[in-house]
Amino acid sequence: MDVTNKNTKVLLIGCTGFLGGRLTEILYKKNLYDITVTSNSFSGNGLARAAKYPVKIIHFNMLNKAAIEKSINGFDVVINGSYIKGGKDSTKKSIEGTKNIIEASIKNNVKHFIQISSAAVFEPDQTEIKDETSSFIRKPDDYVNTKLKTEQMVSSLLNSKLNLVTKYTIIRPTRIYGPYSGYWTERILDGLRHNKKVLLEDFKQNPSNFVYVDDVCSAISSSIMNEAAFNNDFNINGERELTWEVLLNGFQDIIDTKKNVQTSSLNRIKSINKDKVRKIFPNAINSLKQALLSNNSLEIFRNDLFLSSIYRTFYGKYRKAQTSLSYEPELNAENLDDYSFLDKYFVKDMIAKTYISSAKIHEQLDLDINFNFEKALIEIDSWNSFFSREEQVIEEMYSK
Amino acid sequence: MEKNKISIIGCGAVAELMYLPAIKQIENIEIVNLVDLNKGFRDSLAKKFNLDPAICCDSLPLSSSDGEIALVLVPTGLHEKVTIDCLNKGYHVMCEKPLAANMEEVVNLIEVSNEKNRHLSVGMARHFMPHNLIVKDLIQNKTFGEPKKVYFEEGGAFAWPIKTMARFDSKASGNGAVLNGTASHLIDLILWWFGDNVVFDEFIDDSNGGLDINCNIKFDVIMKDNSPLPVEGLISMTGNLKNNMIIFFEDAYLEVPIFPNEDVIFHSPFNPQNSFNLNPYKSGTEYGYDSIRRHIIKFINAINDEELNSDYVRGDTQIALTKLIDDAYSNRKKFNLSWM
Repeated sequence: MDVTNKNTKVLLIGCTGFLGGRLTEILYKKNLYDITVTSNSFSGNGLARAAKYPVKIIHFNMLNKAAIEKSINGFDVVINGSYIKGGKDSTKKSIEGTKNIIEASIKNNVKHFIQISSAAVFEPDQTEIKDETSSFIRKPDDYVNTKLKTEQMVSSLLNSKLNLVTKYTIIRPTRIYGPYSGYWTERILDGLRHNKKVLLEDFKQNPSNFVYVDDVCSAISSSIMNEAAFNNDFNINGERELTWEVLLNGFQDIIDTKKNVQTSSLNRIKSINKDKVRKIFPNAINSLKQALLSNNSLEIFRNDLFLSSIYRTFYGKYRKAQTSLSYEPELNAENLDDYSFLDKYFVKDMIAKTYISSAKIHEQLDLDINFNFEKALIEIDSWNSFFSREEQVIEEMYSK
Repeated sequence: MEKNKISIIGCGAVAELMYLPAIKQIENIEIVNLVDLNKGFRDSLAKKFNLDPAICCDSLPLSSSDGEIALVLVPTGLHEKVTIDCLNKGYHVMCEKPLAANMEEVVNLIEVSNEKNRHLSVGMARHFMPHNLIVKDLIQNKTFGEPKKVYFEEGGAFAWPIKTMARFDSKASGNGAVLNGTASHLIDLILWWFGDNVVFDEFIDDSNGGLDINCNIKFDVIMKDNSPLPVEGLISMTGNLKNNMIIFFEDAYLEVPIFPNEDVIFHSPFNPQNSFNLNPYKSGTEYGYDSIRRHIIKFINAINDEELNSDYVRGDTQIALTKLIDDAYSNRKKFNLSWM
């Protein structure tokens, strides 16, 4: 099929976030496609980024089936990264919306439907390598559950056995970093800026599974109308050598080359978490005591000879429990904050040995990874400096 | 006392979140027309603010009664057309910023308002934020000496809950986004504080056939003694910036927040013990629409001849700002940043 035809009409759905913003930029610069971007809320970083280019931006509500059918008419390629955030119905609505989009794509004879999923569908554990053939996570959170269910829907509704005009591709990026990545770049830079403990010493050699945003966009771009990508799924990840230690040291150099990354042991984190839990019990027991003693009806227990012995027994047990649970926390609130970056999600990610292999996409789609970590850091540094201009101006003013 | 009549043209987010909450707090005012081509927008606004549905319409009546005000809250690309229509129908007009898309349109608006003998104001309501008034006094009184440079930043991922794509449509937005839409407020404040004799220096943005979304602008304000005051601004609709203005003096600087409820901070980098904070909001929370309310009251007072020399922001104060923005858009350079 001809992939160099600018008349290939591409519809980007749910692309007003960080990945979508960059995808629009990269696809536009390729000068191969006639691009339309959809927006439900008319806000978001990606939407503003799209507006730099003469691309069409249209309103699109993935739950409005009739409107979707009309909007999708005439497109050759639909790239769907939509996900309805928040609320208990988030998964249900996202799945329903994806179903609407797929059905409208089939009805409108869209040639290629690309679903942006996530490599989080694979359990991070002690298995060294996982690839597209590995089994999926058993207890997914809401986000991963949505990604799993939408993947299943794509592969069943667009099953190759149905012989449809519409072919599908599922792309599963790992942790995407780069300019504007809130969780995997901005949050880390912020933690380093505030000297937080960000690295688990015992697990620093584990793979980070970080992939640079432009490489994810290249993966998506190279799959567009590519027959080798039809009715296929691909993981996309960065270098295996990009361990947590390498990653965080690189990010640290962006913030301050003179400082070292702050580390912690897993035991230390566990002990802090235990402290937090233990702190709850004495407080709860004290509250219960206050509540009981303030109740006048309890007077009878103290005044009656028999009942007072029961009261003393229970009070003795309470005192014992209170003594055994009392403790002196190792760290005060201020120091505890140093550990706030390493939350349970980050710890879970860091202790896993699993590297998500993306060998399949490199082999089958002939995809080259353009960004090694060093090159990516130069981009992130440039972006970070751009948004830290005020500090530079103040420094320039008074360093003369 | 007869109520002042006011018509609202444009029932989008700025009407819903800013102007109607402000008007609702003004006594002696009556909304007589709620105009929008989109029936859903005007009807839902009437419902939300408990207004008579009968005032909803898709165009203004052909004429107005004496002293009637029109608030023009449509996209920038329509400011000139709608404002002229209002002036021709006899309304005094307050138009949301920027006054128009370019110099030609602004001059035209000023001429028509003069011809029709009607007040013309632009919604630069930040003049009426308490901390900005304090800063104006500090500058005029030369409390910290002569200013040496001004630097300002405003930015964050675009989150204004717009109802249509007009903000990102070249024609409807008046061919500009972050400079004429976002930065015009801040540049207007600077010209109000330091004077509006300005010389354009440089404008770099990231438009690639579309709109400016990130930009850096440099210009000089020529002070009364003919010395140039260099001004630089960085504005973004994609990334987080500090959202403040820095006024540099010889060996200290004033940090002025863009939004209300925050302190104005005097920094003394060489003698940190001399640094101090000014907080004009101790007595209570300032809402975004409070400054708009004050501005509308000033405008009404001017129309009713109740306040001589009312300092509402007049249309003709926008000439220098508009010329600067025109110069910037005509001499734009492109950021050379590969991540952009």
